Amino acid sequence: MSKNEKLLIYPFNVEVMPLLRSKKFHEKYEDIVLCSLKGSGFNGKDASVADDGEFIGITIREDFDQCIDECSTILVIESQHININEDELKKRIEIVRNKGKQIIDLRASNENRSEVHKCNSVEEAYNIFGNVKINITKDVTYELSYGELLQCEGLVDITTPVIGVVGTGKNTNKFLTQLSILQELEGLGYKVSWIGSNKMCELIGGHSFPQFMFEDGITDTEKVLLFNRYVKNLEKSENADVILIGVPGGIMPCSKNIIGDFGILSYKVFQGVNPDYLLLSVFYDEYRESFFNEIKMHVRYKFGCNLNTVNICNRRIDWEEVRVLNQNVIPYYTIDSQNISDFIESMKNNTDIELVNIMRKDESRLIVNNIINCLADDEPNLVF
Amino acid sequence: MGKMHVHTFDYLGQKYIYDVNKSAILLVSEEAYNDIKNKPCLEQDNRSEEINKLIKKGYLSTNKPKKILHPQTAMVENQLKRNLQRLCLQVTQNCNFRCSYCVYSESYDHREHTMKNMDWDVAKRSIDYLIDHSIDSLSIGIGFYGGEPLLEYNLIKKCMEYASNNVAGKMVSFTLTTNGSLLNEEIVEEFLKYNTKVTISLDGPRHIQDKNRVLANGQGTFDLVTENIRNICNKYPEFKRNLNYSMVVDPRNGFTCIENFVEHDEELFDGASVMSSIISGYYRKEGLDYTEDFMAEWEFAKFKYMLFLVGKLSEKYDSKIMKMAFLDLIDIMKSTRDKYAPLGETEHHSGPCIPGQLRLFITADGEFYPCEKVSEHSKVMNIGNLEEGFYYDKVKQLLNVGQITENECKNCFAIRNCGLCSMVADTGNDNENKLSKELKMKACRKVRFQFEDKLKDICALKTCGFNLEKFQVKGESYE
Repeated sequence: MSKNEKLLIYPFNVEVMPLLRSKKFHEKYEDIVLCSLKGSGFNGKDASVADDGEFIGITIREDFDQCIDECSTILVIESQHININEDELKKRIEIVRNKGKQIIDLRASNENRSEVHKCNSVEEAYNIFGNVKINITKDVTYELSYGELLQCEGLVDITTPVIGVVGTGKNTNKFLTQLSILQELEGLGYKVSWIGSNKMCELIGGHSFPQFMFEDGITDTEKVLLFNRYVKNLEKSENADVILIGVPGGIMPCSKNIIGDFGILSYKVFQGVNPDYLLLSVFYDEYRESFFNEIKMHVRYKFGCNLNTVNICNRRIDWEEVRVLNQNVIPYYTIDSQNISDFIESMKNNTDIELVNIMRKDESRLIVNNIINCLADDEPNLVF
Repeated sequence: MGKMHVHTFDYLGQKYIYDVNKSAILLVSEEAYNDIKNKPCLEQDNRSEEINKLIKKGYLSTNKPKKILHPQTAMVENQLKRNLQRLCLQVTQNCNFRCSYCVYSESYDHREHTMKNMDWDVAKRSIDYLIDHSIDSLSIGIGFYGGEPLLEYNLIKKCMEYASNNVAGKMVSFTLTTNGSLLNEEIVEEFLKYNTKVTISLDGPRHIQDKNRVLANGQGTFDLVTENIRNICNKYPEFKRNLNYSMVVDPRNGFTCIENFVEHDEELFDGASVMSSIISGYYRKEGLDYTEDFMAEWEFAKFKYMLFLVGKLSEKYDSKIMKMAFLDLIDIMKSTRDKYAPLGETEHHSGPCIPGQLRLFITADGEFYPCEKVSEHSKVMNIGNLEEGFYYDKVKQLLNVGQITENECKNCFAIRNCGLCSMVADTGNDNENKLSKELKMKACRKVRFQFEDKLKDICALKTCGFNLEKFQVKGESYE
């Protein structure tokens, strides 16, 4: 798609905000139309209403038919809504297709599995996971028979510094945090390999999280080993200064009812790759000082690494709604970024963990400075 | 020297300590009980080994809040701008019944029957207001309230149609509270289409219903309502799933006849849930006397239900009315296991929700009130309107109702299980934007009394081997 073509993002919701706030995305897609589902409360408002951040300058619309006529490409994103009418959505995508428009569908789907990867040796697995271009419009399947071989070789060292970004759940601004770190590092001239927590990262040069981590038919041990190889191959093929990994979902259950995946995915990821710098994004709450020490210990003993920074997201879990909905989703409400800044200020001298608010202007510079200080060789005299 | 933040009580010959910070009930020896009761200061010498052991385990702390402020206070604007959940629309103030205890009746100060109906413009703007202020809500709901809301059925239908056509992606639910007399096939078919949950106000068998719930000409309404519902449920059995009964129990009558009615009239009640409540004492001009017979029958029904809970009586005694009454108790039993963090420096008693956020009541004129239970004649309860939006300062004032009894709350053993909201401190015709400390204190005394009663019930159930996991509502484990 050329830069002059118009892109429609549908159904607009807060998921897409990190992209809209990213220079990289705007370099690629200049003319953007946002259309939300009816009754989302967004209609006629500036896109910034979704994350309560700085003004964007694009007004959200609900007139889908009109929007699609104005655009040449539609980007269909994951909806945060719990009651989405899939048939209606499919019908709309079909209409768009019949009109000859280009469709980029980023939603998780069990359909259109058109790529099958077979491999019978570790070498083949190396090649596949090192070079596979993960197609964002399709899912891929794997037929593997190399398990024992892989296990014999165990883990391989990743020598490039790894930055990990995790959260206590979905919607904790992990993606925005990764994008901010990425742009800041690239601005300073560093080359970054990026495995993003959200499929949308593919649109701006990232690698979406490898599908094999979610597949049935591969054991957990194999997944850990494969992820290790996957990152190793990325290291070899891209030769970047740093590898940025955003892990989807949360590192722990939020409650007895909101369990996510119990943090199993992040556990597997960090068994395969040990991060040199780890940032955790959490929902806002009135945490006591002890919380940060406890979460630090939790990370140390669960993942075997240090927790360097905690981002306090400008969203708070709506526990009343949790009780009403009784579903494995995290209802939240957005709060003023100033509240987060005030909270961080009040905690300033009470915890040794760096607390940040990614919604604050220039916060990414602060985070990247911390990263550079942490990763820089602080013992230049040491030979061995 | 700080005093331990505990409450002592004895029950069935046993001595108990309720530890507020741990939210736990402790069974202690008589010696320890007397020691704690008579010498509540922690820094006392010569404590027994039993007490020292409890102190070592973190019990008997003197920790008390230093300030009363609702934790949601700073979140009020965020919640009301982005996370409105449900509306309750007063579609009409008119009713075809003239129930003696109705809040619109002469027994109460805060409402009166008029011919006033909500017009479509107000209803539409109310729904648009909900949509506009629920960006973060995963589900929204619209309730229809009266008077008798079905007198304005066409408006209700238009509202359901409008909301359904204009909201995609979120769960949209509809509820309605009705006296049941005007339900007909057309309405039921429409309600089934929108999965509308209907609550029927029905007080009990004929002699109870006809005593309080009458038509304007004084004629009883039992036959009119029950025959109507029976006919509808026969034709639309699936409608029963959407049906609830709300029973307003008059403590001047008996209780057993009501319970028998619910348990034995399967045609009406099988598959439907029943919520019972005692006639509201708030805003009432005259006091409400409980007869001795009522109390005796209520206590006996409770006793039988508790025997059922501990497995001493068969499922025949699984009373629908009592089950709902025990929900609160089960909540406390659950919370004693979950709430282990000690009280913070800043606290507020449990009970208040952010006024308007969960169930914004919008009158026929478009005025905002926290919910349908509060007085429309009270200035302090008027928290905004469709033109001006919410008055945030007033919302915060109502949310922080505990501040009018700040000292009492700091020392109260029921702070975590209070349940009071600003309604209890409203005179009903306040004209000065003020809540009444006197009314609040009266309600506080009642809460403390009731909470101690609940603690005793919990002790009785626990002693008799009650298993929390066995308590089920509508076929699902309560947990």
